Amino acid sequence: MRAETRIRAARVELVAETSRSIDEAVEPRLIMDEDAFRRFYERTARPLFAYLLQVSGRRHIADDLLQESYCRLLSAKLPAMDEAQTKSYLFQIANNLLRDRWRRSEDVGRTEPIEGSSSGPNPELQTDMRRAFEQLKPRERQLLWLAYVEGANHKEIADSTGLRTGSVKLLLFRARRKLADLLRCNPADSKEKVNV
Amino acid sequence: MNDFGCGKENQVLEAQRSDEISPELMNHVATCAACTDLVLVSKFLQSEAENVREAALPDAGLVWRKAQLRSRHEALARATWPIRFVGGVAALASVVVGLWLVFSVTELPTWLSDIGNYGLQAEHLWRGYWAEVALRGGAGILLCAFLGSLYVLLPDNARMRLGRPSLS
Repeated sequence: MRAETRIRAARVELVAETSRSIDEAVEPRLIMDEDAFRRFYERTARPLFAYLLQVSGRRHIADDLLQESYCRLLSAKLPAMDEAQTKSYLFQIANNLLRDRWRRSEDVGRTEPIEGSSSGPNPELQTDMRRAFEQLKPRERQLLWLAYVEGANHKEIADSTGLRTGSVKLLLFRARRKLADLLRCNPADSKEKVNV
Repeated sequence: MNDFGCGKENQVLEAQRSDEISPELMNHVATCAACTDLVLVSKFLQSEAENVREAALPDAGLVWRKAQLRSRHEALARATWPIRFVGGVAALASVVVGLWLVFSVTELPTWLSDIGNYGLQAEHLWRGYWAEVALRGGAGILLCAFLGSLYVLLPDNARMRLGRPSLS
């Protein structure tokens, strides 16, 4: 009788141990806990979304890539990083995802109106200027945004986009001149735009 | 100004961001084509960034749960890899043995007639019998291993449809 009880106890223990091992094996291993992630997301999601939206030109793509970028970041095996480095890595992931879309020739680059975004003092002017911006290639929009909104230097842009630093300098200069020309072609706004 | 811009670009950009452009810098911007482009473009891009600030974003909790779920799936795939591997090997071996058996059965009449023709001794028959039994037994074991692996790898809902309890 005692032996039977022992066998039963051993069996229960074995099942519990196996269950623990399975739980440990399939336990998600993410690079930060939920609270830390929420804080990081709070600070980085909006700039990343703005970047993806401006470069891809489509809201649903920006949404998809935003979520995908964070999921990949959380599952990545990374060395210890500060927030700026983690943000830079996040943008790198987003750029890789954008590049994958371009390679698959999906509809990145073709733009759609951004809802609720022409709420400034002169919506028509903003729409015209945005049309000018949309005439740029996605790569040009990417470089301009990283340089003049994110404030990234040439090396950071090169790291993030996979281009050479020298190429970034040249491409950025050309993209800027192209956008400035396009913005100038826009009638009735040249004075207002360069009003520093 | 040089071929790729102006040396004062960083200064202009900093001043524009802080909204404190000195009259001297303003005069420079008015006369330098590169800095004029810079101011025009960066001002436009900053205003675009301001506009996007109002857009609704996916909830952080949703993204977190999605990442957790994906990580769990990846861990599960890693943990069950040996089972899938053995299942695959068993399936391959079953197919090979099955094909071999089919060919052997189709040749059976010739084999039987050969017994009559050559008048095989009982010892030969005995050896042939054991070889056949071992082969069929081996094939059966491999088939069971394959079906067992398949069952373990079935998703929970499919297993429930089969009327069996979930493994988890």
